Amino acid sequence: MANQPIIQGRGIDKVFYVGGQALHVLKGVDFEIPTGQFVSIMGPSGSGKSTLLYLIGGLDQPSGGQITVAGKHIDGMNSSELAEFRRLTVGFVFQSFHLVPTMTALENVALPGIFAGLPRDLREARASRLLSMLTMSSRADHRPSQLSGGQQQRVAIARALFNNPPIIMADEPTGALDSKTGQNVMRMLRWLCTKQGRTVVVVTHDQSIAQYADRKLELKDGRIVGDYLTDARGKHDVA
Amino acid sequence: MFGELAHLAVHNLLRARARLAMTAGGVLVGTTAVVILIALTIGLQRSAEAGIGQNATLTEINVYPSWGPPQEDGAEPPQLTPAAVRAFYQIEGVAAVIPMTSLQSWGELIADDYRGGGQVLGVDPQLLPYLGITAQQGQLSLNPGDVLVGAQVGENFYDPQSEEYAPVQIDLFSAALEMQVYNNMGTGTREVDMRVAAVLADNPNYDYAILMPTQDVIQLNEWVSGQKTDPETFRYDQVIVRAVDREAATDVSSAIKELGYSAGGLGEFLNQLNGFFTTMRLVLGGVGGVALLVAAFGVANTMTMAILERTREIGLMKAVGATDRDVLTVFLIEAALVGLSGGAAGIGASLLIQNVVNEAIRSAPAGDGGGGMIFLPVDTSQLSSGLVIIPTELALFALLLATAVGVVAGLYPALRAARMTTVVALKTE
Repeated sequence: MANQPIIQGRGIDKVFYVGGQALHVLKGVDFEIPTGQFVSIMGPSGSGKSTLLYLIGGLDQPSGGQITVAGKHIDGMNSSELAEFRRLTVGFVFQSFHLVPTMTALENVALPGIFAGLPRDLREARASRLLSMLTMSSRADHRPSQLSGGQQQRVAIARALFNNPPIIMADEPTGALDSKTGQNVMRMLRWLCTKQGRTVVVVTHDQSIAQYADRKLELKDGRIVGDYLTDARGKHDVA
Repeated sequence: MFGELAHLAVHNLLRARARLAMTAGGVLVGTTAVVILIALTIGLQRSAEAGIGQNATLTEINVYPSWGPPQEDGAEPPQLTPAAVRAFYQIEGVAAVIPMTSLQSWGELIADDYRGGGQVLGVDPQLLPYLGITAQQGQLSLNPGDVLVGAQVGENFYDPQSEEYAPVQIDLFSAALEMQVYNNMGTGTREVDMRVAAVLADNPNYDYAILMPTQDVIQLNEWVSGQKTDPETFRYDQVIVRAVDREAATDVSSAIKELGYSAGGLGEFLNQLNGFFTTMRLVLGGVGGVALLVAAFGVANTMTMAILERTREIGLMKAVGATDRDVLTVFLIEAALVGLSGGAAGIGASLLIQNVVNEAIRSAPAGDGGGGMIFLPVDTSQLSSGLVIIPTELALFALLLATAVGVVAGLYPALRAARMTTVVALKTE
């Protein structure tokens, strides 16, 4: 099971048109990620790493190539199929948290349940369990502005876990945090991989963050230029 | 699912309460304008109808032989023959056909030393119940020699010996009454004793009428003309057709006109009046509609602003599994709720205005020259139910309209939100 690829990309192309100019961001990317692996995607700005994450997360459509995630061909899905795919398969964590400022921590975590059609009591019960798992119970009624950056990112992680997706995707999850808080967030993601068996894909340009991953993919100018296994499992596993 | 999205929409609306209040305020003004202006036409129409007469007169159609130039083929215009009366009875929606015969001469009423007059009409005694008349004294029945007199007939007697004309009131029900009829040559008169079976209650159609059995009138006419009545050439002078209800009256009236007769009646007049008020309602409703249109732009503007402000949130909603349709639904519900709340407040404001205006009119001094309501083009005493009338249907219609205005105004912004590319929306600063 652990070696079955949960994410598979074949010749992924992505072209953006900016002001009439074609911008070739991804140029035929091939890769596979097995189930339960913690992968970091690294590369300089403009290397296409975030674009690649959005493509395999079903937030955007490739210009060419095939993407298979959890057994589904997501290239060529229509927008409502993609919405269902995201709801069931992927939990996203963003650099700037993307919490709704007018909602409490609990309501933010429960937000995906609205689009899953869950009744309110069920939503809030599940959100409350997730917050307690991430030791955020005491902050459930706080709004994002009343929380620190690290706390906000923990709320965002809880939200990503709401629909219990097999894959967590994080785009620069520590980019807005100080180094110590960032390490905490990474340990949490590591824990989700090791203890809960979720596949985690993190985009970052920070080497010290990448060391939490089992594997490091390096992107440059729209191509994969490096693919290394690390021994993160030994170093950072927490009880 | 819809309930969850609606819940989210309500949450979103309440986060910008001041803006909600101002946008809904626009809808409030628009809705109030529509409701009050339409309610005003309803109030005016009701008072106009109340001034026209009772329901019985509204189903009545008066039929006369057609006047005017001969028809193109030189044929006589159709006459009110007994056959024509039977033809009227065949028309759908007719409840009764009441043919009438006039006295072909002048009949003067004499009671004591006073003289009076009226229009002598012969009517089939069996059709009296369909005439829409009631008695203030006596019984509604006509035996040979009996008459029914209109309410005003007894009020207008005069003393022929007097130098000046001064109306004298006679109690016809108890007075000994006779009628002096002149023949066609003007060479002779004949006195007929009359027994007043009833004095009619007020009724604009029969206030000056002297109703007799048709046979009595025909006999008088034979004496007046000196000729026997020939059933072949007999014509009624007037036929009253009663329709089953007010709506049918219009159809019956036009069917009779198609047969070539002149037809008229209060129902006909009322239809024209209703047509006028319908036009007035459309015009005034349109004026109010302009205010609502302005409010619609307000809603569209607010929703567009909200969507620009919440672009990142829209991206996030999609990232956590919202479909385009979910996003569309959330924003449409928000727009609809803006319309609905503005509409509800507008109806509240309208009801308040209704009470204030109607109360002001009710408490205004009645009569001519007394008070500030003199500018009104209607008799305020007729406004029993008020100048501004808001029926439940109007309130519900206004609520629906305001909500629809919200939805339509929110459609474009909501579609924009639904079609946003997730990644672009997420990365918007």
